[in-house]
Amino acid sequence: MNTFPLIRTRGSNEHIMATLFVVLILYHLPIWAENPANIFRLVLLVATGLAVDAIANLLRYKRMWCCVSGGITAAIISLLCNGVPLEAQFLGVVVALILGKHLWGGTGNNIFNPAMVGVLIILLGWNVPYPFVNNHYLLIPAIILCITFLFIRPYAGLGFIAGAIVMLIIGRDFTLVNVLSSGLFFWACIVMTDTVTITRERWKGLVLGVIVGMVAFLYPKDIRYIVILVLSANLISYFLNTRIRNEHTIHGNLKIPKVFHYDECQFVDLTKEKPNNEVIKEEPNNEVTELDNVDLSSEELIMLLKRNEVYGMGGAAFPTDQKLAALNSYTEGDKFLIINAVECDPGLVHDDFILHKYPDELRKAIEILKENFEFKTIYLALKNNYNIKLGEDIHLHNVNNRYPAGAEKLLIREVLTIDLNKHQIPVQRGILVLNIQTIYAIYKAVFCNESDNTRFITVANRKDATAKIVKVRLGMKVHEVLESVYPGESHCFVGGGMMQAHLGDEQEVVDRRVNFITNGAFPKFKESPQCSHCGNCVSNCPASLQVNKIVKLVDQGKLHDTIKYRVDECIECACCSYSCLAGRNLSSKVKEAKLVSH
Amino acid sequence: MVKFSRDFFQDKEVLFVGYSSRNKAYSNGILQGFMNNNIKVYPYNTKENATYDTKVYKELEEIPVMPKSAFVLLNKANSDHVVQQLIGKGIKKILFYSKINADLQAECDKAGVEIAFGCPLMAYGKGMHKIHAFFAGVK
Repeated sequence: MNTFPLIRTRGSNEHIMATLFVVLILYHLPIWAENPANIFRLVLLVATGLAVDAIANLLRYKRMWCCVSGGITAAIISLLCNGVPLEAQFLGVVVALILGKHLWGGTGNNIFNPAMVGVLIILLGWNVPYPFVNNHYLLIPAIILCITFLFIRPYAGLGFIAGAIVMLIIGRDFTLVNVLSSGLFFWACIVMTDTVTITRERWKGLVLGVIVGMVAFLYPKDIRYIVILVLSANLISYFLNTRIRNEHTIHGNLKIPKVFHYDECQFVDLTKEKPNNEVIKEEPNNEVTELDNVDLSSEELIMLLKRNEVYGMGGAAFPTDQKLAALNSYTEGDKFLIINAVECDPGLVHDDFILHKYPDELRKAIEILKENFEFKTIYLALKNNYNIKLGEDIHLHNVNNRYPAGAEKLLIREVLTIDLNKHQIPVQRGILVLNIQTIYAIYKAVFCNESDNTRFITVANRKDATAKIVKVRLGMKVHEVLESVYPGESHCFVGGGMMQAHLGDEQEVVDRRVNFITNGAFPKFKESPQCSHCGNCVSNCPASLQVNKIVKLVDQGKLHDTIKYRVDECIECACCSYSCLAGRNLSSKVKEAKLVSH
Repeated sequence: MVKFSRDFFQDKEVLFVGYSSRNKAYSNGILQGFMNNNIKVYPYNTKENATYDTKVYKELEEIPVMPKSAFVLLNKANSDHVVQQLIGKGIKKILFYSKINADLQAECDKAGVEIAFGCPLMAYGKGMHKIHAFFAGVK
């Protein structure tokens, strides 16, 4: 079954398009000030653009999709070709959308900027005056607003500004009036930031922008040169974008605020004979006999953990005894222990709870690990928490508040600055990473000799943004757990966290991978086919995968072709689904390809 | 044939025949519409090698308790085939998304199966679906 994040970015392609449209309207103010009748020209052109785009989308996708981009193309043509006959502008809009966009496969698939194609067609038959406005100061609101678009594709746009300014200075034309009248910001912030047709690569984009800006401003009075240069930049960007990237760096970029907070959470214990559904406000008690001291060899410890079936509680559910056995055979250098209490998933709170409620138990477990495996350094990795003290020799390491900072190899890089590739297993390099709940399970296995089939999970009510820490027994039905904590809920989502949940089946039980149960509605994935190539999925991918290309191949049914894009390195964090402006659950597609790659 | 209304799925259980194997937003929207109105949904699609956003049954025999009502999101040709099976499984009410041929309609009448036509989102959706419901007279 597909997993998906239950939260996603609030932004969408439609928001960006709508803002861009507002900017273009503002750019028309000086034209309208000269002749208010031009308002009707724009209305007619935009209506034409919307209609052509809507019909083309309807034919292609058999349903209506957003066609604002057609209106934007029309508005750009109206602005740049102000002064040519209306029929020429109509022709430009229709040709731009059909020849410049839909013949290539629709929004997101075109190589050239459709508006530039339209302007080029008009230039073939009519003389287009340039610059496009006279009353330059009325452009200031549009310029201020359009600068925000530099954040979308900064490098080519900034390069263009730099190149153009250099040429204006060289030509001794660098005045405010010239900067405004030349349309410098229009080209840099609107045309050179087009996500579909301009490369997102940093340095190559910057150089491309500088070259286009410099050459364009050699002849600032002629629009033909700029249009041809932009189209050339589009072509170069297309070739740059077809390159297969082989970056193996892993990083966590996405800043997702916590949905729930530990301080506001309550504890519920559902593991008792007669489950107590009442909220327990005080600390939970351990009703087991505890040994004060244990003296075990590392082999005995590993056997004990194996017998008591201790496993990784972070979500991977890997047997802890196997990890320790591998670590035990490592003799080549220093050993490190990283205790993972980062809890980077925005929906989880129970790790923080364990850290605060069981410091003595955690300390004992860490102590026995330390005695047996002689760690050089022990780190406790957490986020923004300076008040925890587990021992003098345990180093607190505050991790950047980024998702997925708690992923094993990311954490190792963050804490130890060691980069491990996909083939390198941390314990074979002397690095042991254990989740904080696993440490607690080790304590129970060693000091209480208890085979722990219980675990702490976060059960959340997304309707009022509250959560409770719940102690459950493995094998309990997830629907019953949710019903016990938040009665009267029909939807049940379950998974490793808020970013990797799936719809819970009625028969589904709490297993070793379950960390999170919640209610609420389905997340809104509108699954728009109109990718704007914003690059969010790529820049937010911790494994630096070219997610957009992988997904395109999956959509085409070419699953085996995705292997060349290193799809097997996906860590299934769902950052791509969270940040996709087209509202697509990209991670499910990548996961589909990953299954084939194995 | 009856007029589709909110009361059509009174049993609060429905077999969703033809849940999209590509998890299309429309299919997903209907699933959510049912679920938001506390109607238990059993999605059904026979397609192999598809991954779904929800638990989807590939065989009618897999469904733990066969509901008495079904919603059919299939084209005419596929509807013909599946309706026979549904009647055989004791389904008493079927909401069809698209029109069916007269023979099939007669067959349903003969088997005592109550049928209706329409989009469930008219009754269980929000926004534009409410406008659709208004014009279609769905209450």
